[in-house]
This record gives sequence, structure tokens and C-alpha cells, in this order.
Amino acid sequence: MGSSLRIFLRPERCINCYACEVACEKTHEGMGNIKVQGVPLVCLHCEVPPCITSCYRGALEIKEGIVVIRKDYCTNCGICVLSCPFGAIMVTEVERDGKKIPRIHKCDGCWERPYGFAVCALTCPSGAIGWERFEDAVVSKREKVYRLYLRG
Amino acid sequence: MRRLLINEKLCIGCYACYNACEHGVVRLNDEGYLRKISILEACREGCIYCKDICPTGAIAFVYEDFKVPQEILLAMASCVSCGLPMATEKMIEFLSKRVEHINLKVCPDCRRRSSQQA
Repeated sequence: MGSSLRIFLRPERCINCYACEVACEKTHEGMGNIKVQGVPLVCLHCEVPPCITSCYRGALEIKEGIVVIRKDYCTNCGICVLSCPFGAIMVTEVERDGKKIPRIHKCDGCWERPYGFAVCALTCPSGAIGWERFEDAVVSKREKVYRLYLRG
Repeated sequence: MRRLLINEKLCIGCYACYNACEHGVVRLNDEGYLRKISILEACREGCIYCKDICPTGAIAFVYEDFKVPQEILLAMASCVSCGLPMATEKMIEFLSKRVEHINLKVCPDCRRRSSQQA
């Protein structure tokens, strides 16, 4: 199961087809974790995540470089939603006994899916969402910047 | 009869107890820029989910006769960018002690939008 593989975004390649949103919703029981508004945005899985520092129950944890919510610890209070600097933690209202209760969900890097691969990256037709090792992504980004620098 | 008593000074107006209560004793309504938390009925014996879950320890149980329904009104802070209510002011104050370098004046939706436009 993709040990050090992560989702990397290349926003300049996005063609606004919303395939990733649909794929994510389908895999995560109708609660999509990716939003396309011009360019796709998912959780960036920060190295020092403010959501983890803000959570008073320790419901968020880092699993192999991916920040995940432990559903049995989460109280759906909404504090982590406010703490995320990118607004990548989503809230969906669910019906329970006639009242609407908010459910909090975020990108889990598809770590428990059978594919061993993030579905958004698998679906993306233009390669705007990549699924690669951290080191490879850094090298390719450096290459791109260097090419732009050479071009002037 | 046992009832819930929420400490108004400590309550930050999050969704934790509202989500945890399976019997619908804790009610939460957003009316414009005010969040209203109300307890109108007595609750069941033996259930301590809400007390267990409260981030500030604001919940206590009292075994007195059921007197007055409790209502807590909390002011909502509005987003600087879109002007819509985003969270209670106390919740933002609670969060500002835990995280640094995060602009808590902007709502999550606007943050997402601005990071996608950058």
C-alpha cells in the first residue's frame, strides 16, 4: 500500500473536467474530499499540520506521511475545519433521526482502499493530479523551474 | 430527574455535544449571526457521551428538579472576505491559543478559493 507515495497537484494541467470530484465522491460514500474551482485542491498533508495541533481529542494522526481522521475519536466539532489554512477539511450535513448533523471528512490518501492508489490521480485524464514519491516530485518540480529559468 | 447544565462561560459553541447526543436533548440552531444552544428536557440516566466529549469541560449533570429550560446565545464571527457567519467568536478564541500563523478572520471556503486562485 503506497508507502511513501503521495498526491501531487499540477494545477496548470487541469482541464476542469471534474472527473476527480466524481471519483472521490464515489469512493468515499458521497463525501468528496477534492474540490475543483478552476484548479483541484486536496489536503496537502502538511509536515506540521495545524489540524493535528488544534484537535483536542487526538483524532487526527499521520499515517505514513498521510494525515487521516480516526472516525471513532472524531466528535465532528468543527475545530479542525477552522484551523486548516487551505480550507481542505470538508463538512457535509447528514440526516440522523430527523436532524441534520455535520460530518467532517478530509483526504485520506485512499490509504485503506484496495487499489493502493489515490482514485483522483487514477482518474485524472490530463495528469494534473500525480501519485508519486516525494523525492520524484521534488526533482520534477526543480526541473520545471530550471527549464523556465533557462528560457528566461 | 437528571438534566444537563452547560457552563455558559466555558461553552464555545462547537458541534461536539450536539453530535454526540443520541436522544436529541441538546439542540443547536443558527439564526443569522447568533448560535442558539438549548436544552429543553431532562436526559437519560447513565449516558455521559456529551460530558466526555466536550472540549472545554463545560458540561455538568444536575439532579435537581427540572426548572427552567436553558438557552445559550453565542455571537458568530463573520468572514472578512465574504461576510457570512463562519464560527462562534469563542471558538476562534479557543483555536487562536492552539494554532499560530493562521488567518482566523477568513472562513474555510474563502481560504480554499484564495489558495486555488494563487
